[in-house]
Amino acid sequence: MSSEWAIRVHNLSKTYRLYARPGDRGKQWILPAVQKCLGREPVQYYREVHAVENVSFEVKKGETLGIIGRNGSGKSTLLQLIVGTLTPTGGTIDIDGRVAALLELGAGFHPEFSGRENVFLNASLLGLSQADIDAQLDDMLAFAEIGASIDQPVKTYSSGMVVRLAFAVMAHVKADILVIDEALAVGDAFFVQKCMRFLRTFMERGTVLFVSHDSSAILNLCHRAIWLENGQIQIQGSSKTVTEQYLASEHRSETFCSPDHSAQSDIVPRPLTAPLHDMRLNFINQSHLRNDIEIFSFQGKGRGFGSGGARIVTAGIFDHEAKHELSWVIGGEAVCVIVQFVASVAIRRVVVGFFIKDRLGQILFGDNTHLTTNAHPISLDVGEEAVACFPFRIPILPQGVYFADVAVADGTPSEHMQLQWIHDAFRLESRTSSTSTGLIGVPFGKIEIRKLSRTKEALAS
Amino acid sequence: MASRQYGLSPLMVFTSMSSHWNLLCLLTKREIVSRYRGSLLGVVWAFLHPTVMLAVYTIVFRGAFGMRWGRDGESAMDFGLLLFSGLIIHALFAESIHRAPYLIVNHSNYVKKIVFPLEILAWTSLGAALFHAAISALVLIVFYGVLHHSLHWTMLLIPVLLLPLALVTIGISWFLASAGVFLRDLGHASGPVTTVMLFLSPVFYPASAFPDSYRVLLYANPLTFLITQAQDVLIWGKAPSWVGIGLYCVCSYLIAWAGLLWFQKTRKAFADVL
Repeated sequence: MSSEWAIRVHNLSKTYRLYARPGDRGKQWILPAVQKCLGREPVQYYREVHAVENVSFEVKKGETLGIIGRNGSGKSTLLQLIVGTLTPTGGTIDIDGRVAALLELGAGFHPEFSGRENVFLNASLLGLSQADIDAQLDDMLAFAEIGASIDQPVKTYSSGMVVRLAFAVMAHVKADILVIDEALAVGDAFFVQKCMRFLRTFMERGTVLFVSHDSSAILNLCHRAIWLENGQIQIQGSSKTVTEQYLASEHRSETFCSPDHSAQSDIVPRPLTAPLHDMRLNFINQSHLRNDIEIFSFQGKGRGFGSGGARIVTAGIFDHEAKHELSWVIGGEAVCVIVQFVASVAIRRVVVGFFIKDRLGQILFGDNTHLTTNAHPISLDVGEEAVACFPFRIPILPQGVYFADVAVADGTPSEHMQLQWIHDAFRLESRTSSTSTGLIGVPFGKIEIRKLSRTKEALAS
Repeated sequence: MASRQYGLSPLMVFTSMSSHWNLLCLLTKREIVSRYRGSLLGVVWAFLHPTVMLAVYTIVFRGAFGMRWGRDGESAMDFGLLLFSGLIIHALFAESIHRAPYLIVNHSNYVKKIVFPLEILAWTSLGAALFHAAISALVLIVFYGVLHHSLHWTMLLIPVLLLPLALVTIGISWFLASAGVFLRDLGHASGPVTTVMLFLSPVFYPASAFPDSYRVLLYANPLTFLITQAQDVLIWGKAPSWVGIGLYCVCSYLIAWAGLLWFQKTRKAFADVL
């Protein structure tokens, strides 16, 4: 059976019955039936907990779907239902293809068995025949990098070795669907890179279900995402929209006071505008590989969130003296990000920040004023205006569209209230680029190749 | 692939074993080997244990208690072998039943963390018990041969008796393995129950020695028939009752199927309880 869908989940629910005492479970089996026979209202001996409620979604073949949510939002339960370790209370799951789960790596290993035996055990559980396993065994062992310990019992392995072995098995079972929990980043950095390479290769052909509470991982890896909250789907859509909303709600729930909106209307913003200056003029005679970046004007009416305790009047990129707002810059030049805002409420410890993200929403770089103002916090009265300036050398950006998020908050990075956060406050567009690889390019000095004379002599002799 | 469904057909008793044959062999082998791992004598213990038990039964029950089966020309060694043939049957049953309530509980990883064919755990435990029964039978046959300088051809029929025994054992094991998840008390109850079954069977005495008024208890014990049959084929050299064994096979297959049905019906709740 082949269809367009790899996973179809329809109205899925999982309800747990919690019993106060072990005896209550037995009572629940027998007594309600007896009470019904006697014509009485059956007594319920349990409390119901809805771990997953009416969840429906579909994953196309070859698609990567992310599931994001806080701890206890039902992400793991949902995965366990899809993998088949839990049985749904209601609804249906249709899966087309072989599923490999990277949930708790090594959980299926028997500690007394040797590594090799566990490979056989796990692979045959995933539906591989003896011949398949024999053919794949060398690859698996090479991938796991266990070495001679492969014939030792798994209980003698380090946790990293167990995870490597389990991952190696999963990577070689030729699964159609991969289910991954966030706890993937274990083992040393080299192995994590190997796993990520495997994952990226797998994503080219296979279907992946990826669960995390880290929005940047979701953005980085997934096409679409689902935000799960209290077992229900909050929203589903492109991973960019979903993670933005998720991030916004995360900040909202940390809010500790309600702002006073009344003062806001009295203030007339006075943007720090100045003649636009095209920096390219200074470089007009230089190479055609120049990285021209066009900067579009500030969009304050865009999406965002926050308590409303501050209003960002303008934000943009200025020259390094913060005098002229720029419409074009060249990658590698010294510039300054300016964020100008008005306080609508009294702010105790103002923190201003920004970051630049790429087309996929992955954060490339950014900073905030916390470290600068930590020792001497700046407080603002209602209606006071302020401007934050971040001077830096703008990196070379590969061709594409970039966005900047800017935010003003009150507090410290660990405990704060977002006063205003603007998504995509201004847009940057890189037209040409000298970088060919990497997310951003850094300006290099003179690159050259020098022949070493010693080598020449050695060859001659 | 549709949503997960667990087979319920009568053939499932066998397909549960054959569809994961490799896994089953691996797990059973490990089950047996791990018991002797680390000991100096290793698998030799599998032979030593029944041999020592055979010697102890002979000395204590015949030598110290002066018990007799009541047949002419019966030597002390014969009495020991007779006892031992009954014990092989009981031990196979008891070993599996003791462990059954803990099978799922002790493998909660296989329930909660991975998708595992849980029904084969009972086969694994039965497989290990069968291995020990086979060794015990071998020890018995060797001792008999040394003692009498001859063997009965009926000794070859012992596997025919083990088949229905295995079926009834696996059926009860499946039931207990599942019920033990919900009712932890079963683990404590299985020990006394199998002990009662040992004394309510013609292992230490002939069935005729049991008072008439209580004899119904003796025949209510599912092991009684197989124990007398085992004594017939191993010691007396008599052919077994084929009709009896045939009927027993049918009944035990029904028990195995019922046990599996119960197991498959209840397994969905395992992960919620463990």
